[in-house]
Amino acid sequence: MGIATRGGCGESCININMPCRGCFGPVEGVEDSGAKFISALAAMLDAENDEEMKQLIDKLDDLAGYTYRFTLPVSLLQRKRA
Amino acid sequence: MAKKITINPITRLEGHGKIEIFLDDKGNVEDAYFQVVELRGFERFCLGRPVEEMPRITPNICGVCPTPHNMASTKAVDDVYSVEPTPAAKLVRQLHYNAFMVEDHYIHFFFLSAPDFVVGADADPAVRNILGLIDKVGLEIGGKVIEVRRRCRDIIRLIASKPPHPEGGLPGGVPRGITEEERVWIKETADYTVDFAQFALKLFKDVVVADKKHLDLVLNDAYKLNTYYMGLVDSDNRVNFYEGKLRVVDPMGKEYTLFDPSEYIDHIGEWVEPWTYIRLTHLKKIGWNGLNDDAGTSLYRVGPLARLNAADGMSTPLAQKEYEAMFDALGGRPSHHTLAFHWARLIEALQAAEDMQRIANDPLLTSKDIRNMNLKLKQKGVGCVEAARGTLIHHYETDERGLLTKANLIVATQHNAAPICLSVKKAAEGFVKGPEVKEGMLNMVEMAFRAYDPCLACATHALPGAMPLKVTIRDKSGAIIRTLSRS
Repeated sequence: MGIATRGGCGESCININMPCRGCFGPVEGVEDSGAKFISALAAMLDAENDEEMKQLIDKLDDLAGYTYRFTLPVSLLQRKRA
Repeated sequence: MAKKITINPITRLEGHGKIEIFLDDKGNVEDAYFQVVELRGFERFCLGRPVEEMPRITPNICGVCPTPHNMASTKAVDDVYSVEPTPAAKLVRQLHYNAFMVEDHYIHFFFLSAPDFVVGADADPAVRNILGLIDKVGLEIGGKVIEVRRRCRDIIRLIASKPPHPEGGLPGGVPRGITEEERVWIKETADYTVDFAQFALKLFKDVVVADKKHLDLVLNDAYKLNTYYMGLVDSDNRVNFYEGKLRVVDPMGKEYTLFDPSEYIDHIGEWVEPWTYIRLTHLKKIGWNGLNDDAGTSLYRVGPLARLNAADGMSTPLAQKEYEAMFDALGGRPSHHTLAFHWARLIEALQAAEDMQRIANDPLLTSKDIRNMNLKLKQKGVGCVEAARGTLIHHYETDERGLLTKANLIVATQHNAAPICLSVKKAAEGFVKGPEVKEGMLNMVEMAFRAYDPCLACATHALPGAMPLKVTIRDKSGAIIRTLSRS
C-alpha cells in the first residue's frame, strides 16, 4: 500500500499471501498516515451524495483501527493544539 | 534466627518470576512460593479488533510460543466462522506446527536444561550454560543442534513468514500452499530431523539414564509430585499436538475425564491468590483444595510428561518404542517424576519429526485446494493446541460484525503454576539446608521449575526481560544478611 504504508520489510507478509498491515509505520513525507489512507479510499468510493457516502463508510468496520493500526501514536489525532 | 531467601529473578526460563524460600530457626525450609510479578493483559486490549486479526496479534504475546498462539487462535477463528480447513490446508498447518515443536523442544532441552545434566547441577554457573555444554559434547554436536533448529525454522518461515511472529492463519485454511520443489527439501529436513531426534534421545540416555547419580536425581522424591495429568489425544488416545479431545488421567493413571476443548469451562477452574498474577487452574469438579498433592488434590499438570501420562501411546512408531522404554525405566505409567519431563520432551520431538516425514510424503501436501470459504459467523469459538510446554486454549466471542467482545486465553504455564509452586517447595525442603545456603542448592530448586519449561510472559501475557539471578537472604525482620548474584 504505497500511498499509506512503508515497505522495507522484504514483503514478508505479501510473500505468504497475507495482506500488508503497515507495521513499518507511516511513509516519509506523509504527515498523517491514516488520513492519507482514508483520502485514497474516498477517491475510490462511488457515491452521488453525502447519504450514499455515509452508507458506504458504515460498511467498513473499525475504520480507525484499520487506517491507524500502527500509526495512531504519531498521528495528528494525538497532538494537542499549540 | 529464621531467614527468608529470595531467588529473584530466576534464570533460564521465559519471563519474570521469583522464588521466596522461608527458613525456620534451625535453617530448614518452612515454606516456599513461586511468584509471578508481571502483568500485561491481551484479553483486554484486543477487544474491538476484528476476530480474524487475532492470529496475527496473539503471537506478539511472547516470542517463545508464537506458533502455538497463532495456531490456537487460527483454530478458534475457524470455530467462530463454523468452518473446517481443507485437508491440504490441515497438512500445511500440521507441518508448520510439528516444525515448531521440534525447534522449541530443542531450544529448551539443549540451551536451558541440558547444562544441568551434562555440565552438572552444582557446576560453576559460568560454565553451566550452552557454551559449557558445547565444550563438553563437542563442536560437531553443537553445530547439529543449531542446524536442526535452523532447518525447522526455514519451514516455518516458508509457511508463515517470520518464525518469531507467524503471519499466516486464516479461517478455513492457509494463505499459501506448498510446491513440489519445496516438498523435496521439506522431506530432506524431515529425514534429517528424525535422525537427529534419535541421536538426542541416545545422548539423554547415555548422559542421564545410564549415570546412576543422574538417574537417582530424576527419581528423587524431592522432584516427585502426585497430580492428575492432561493432554490432547486422538481417537485412539494417542498423543496429538494439533487436535483431538482433552484427556485427564488421575494420579493412578486411570482416565478421569475426556472432553472436547470447547467444554473447557466445565472442567477447568481458575483460582486467584493474592501473591501471584497467575490465576491458578485446577479440576473444577473436584474444587480448589490448595497447594498439595495428597489424595484430595485437584491439581493437574500439562506439558511433555503430562501428555505422555495422559495418553495410551505415541502416534508414530519410533516414538512409541521410546515411550515404552521410558515408562519401563521409570517404573510404569503414570510417572510423577518432574525431571522426566526432559525425557518426554525428547520423545515428543521424535514424534513431531516422524509426523513431518509423514506429511512430506503425502501427495496431498502440494494440492492447491488450501482454503474453505464456506464461512458462517456464529460469534463464538474455542481453539486448542498443545504448545511445547502444555495445553493452550483460546476462546473468543464477537458481535454480529465479527469484532471481538470477549477473549479468554488459558496457557500452559497457568495450568502448571500451582504444581510448580509445590515442586519448588518440595525441592527446597529436599535440598536447601541452612545455615549456609550454597548456590548449587538454589540451582537444584531452580531445576524443579525449569523442567516445566515455564513461560511466565505467556502466563501473565507479559513481556519477558533480561534475567540475571539475584539471591537475597534475609532474616525474619527482613534485613539482608547475605546476597549472591549471577549475571
